[in-house]
Amino acid sequence: MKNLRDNARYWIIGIALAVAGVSANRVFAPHLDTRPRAVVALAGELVALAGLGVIIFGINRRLRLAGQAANPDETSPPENRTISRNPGHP
Amino acid sequence: MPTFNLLDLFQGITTLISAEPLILFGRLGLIVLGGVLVYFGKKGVLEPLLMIPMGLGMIAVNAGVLFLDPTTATHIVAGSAPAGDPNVAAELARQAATGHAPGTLFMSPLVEKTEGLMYLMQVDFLQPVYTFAFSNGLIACFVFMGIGVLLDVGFVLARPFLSMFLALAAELGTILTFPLAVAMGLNYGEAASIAMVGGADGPMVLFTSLTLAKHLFVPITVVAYLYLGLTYGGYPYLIRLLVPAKLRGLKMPPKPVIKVTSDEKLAFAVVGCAVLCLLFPSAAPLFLSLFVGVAVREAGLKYFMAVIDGPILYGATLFLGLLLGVLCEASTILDPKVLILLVLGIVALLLSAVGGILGGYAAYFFSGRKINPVIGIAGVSCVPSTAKVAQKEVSLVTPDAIILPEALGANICGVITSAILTGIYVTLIPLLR
Repeated sequence: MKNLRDNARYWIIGIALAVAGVSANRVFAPHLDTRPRAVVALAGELVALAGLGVIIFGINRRLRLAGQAANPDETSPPENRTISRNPGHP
Repeated sequence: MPTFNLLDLFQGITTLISAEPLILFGRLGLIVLGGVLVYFGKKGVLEPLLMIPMGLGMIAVNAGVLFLDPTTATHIVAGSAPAGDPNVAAELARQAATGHAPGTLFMSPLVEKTEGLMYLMQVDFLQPVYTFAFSNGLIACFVFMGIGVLLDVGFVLARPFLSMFLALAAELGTILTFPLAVAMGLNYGEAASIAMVGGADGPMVLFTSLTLAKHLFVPITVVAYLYLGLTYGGYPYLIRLLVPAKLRGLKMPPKPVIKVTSDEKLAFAVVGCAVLCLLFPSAAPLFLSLFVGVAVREAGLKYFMAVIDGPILYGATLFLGLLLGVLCEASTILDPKVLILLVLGIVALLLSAVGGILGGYAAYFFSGRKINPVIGIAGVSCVPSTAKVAQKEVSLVTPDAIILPEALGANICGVITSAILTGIYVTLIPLLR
């Protein structure tokens, strides 16, 4: 939970953007005429997805900072990188 | 004394001989194709988990046609959507009443009316599975839940922009095939369903075609799964064709070991699921299934994980293969549009692969020639086949080059972009009609 708290700014901005986008898409757009409805709905979708992007950016930023703090001068060799189990399925 | 016809003992052969030439050759061809699928499944060229039950189902359903008793045949004819031509409808009703209607005891996919369905569920052994789990998309959702449990969204969160860019590039086929299909005479729903083959995600194709082109979902889904099986065998050649060996063997610069915590992944799954369901309610069952798998994994619910990635995923895969095979009965699958679907399906998958590799090249140039372009093909969301194919092809040239983490990131992001495109198609197409 500490990581979430430290990164709260990005989570709050991301969720706020996503809520704004969804509201535009699902609440405001249906009340408009055909053309503005399509524009607002599409813009809402993009804003909502951008909100998710902000959260991802925040997590990525934390990872970069944590990586730099852990290894200021060197990076680990590729064989140490984590690889998930990889069971096959269709 | 009643007359006895020896061929009544072997009705599979009698129905074969008495069928029209198109159906006769269709059934024989599908029996051979079923055998080929089993063979290539066993050899590992095609996905064995799907192809072996599918191939065997295909053989059995085309060999096991019999003359249905009048009650069952009447329920099938009366319960199905009426034939367009009244003469054809009258002929079908006459055949059913006289006990000369051919059919099988597997299932009757075209029956829609409740009374007919209730009767057939007591006769056809796969009808309950088909009605309660396949035609409503439950099996697709089960498979997606299993995929969710196997996915580690940490790979996406660790390399978000590269993953997203490659996943978007690898949707080229899903986007471009739609206008191509419309130009070839398919309606919007059919075009969107076959375009989804470019996403290389079986459950998405099944879900889209069940929603938008129910009358064609059998051939579209069968074409999709056949081609998805080919990604494992065909994509390596495409990679070798489009990426020279020198670039294929490119080692990517090592990155520090960084960990996305399970709290972050769980919180992202919750927010992502809520936002995507709010935006695309038509595809909400798929989003819920995917993210419930992710949430179970990240919450560490081991008993649920064991159930989902064991019995649920593999049980659903077994019945999916079996039902797809059984759906390949000649009279069901031989639609004049099948040839168009076969062409468009391969075009969609090819375009997506090419788009992915072009995305890989763009990443290679924009990163200052550090990113191996082969990872682009992993944006095609056939998890984890395309990521494994990419790693395998790189390892053939440079055995110690590891691209799997980046490839899996693009691969997992591909699943999410495919689900988003499914949501867009399923939401927009009914508005365009």
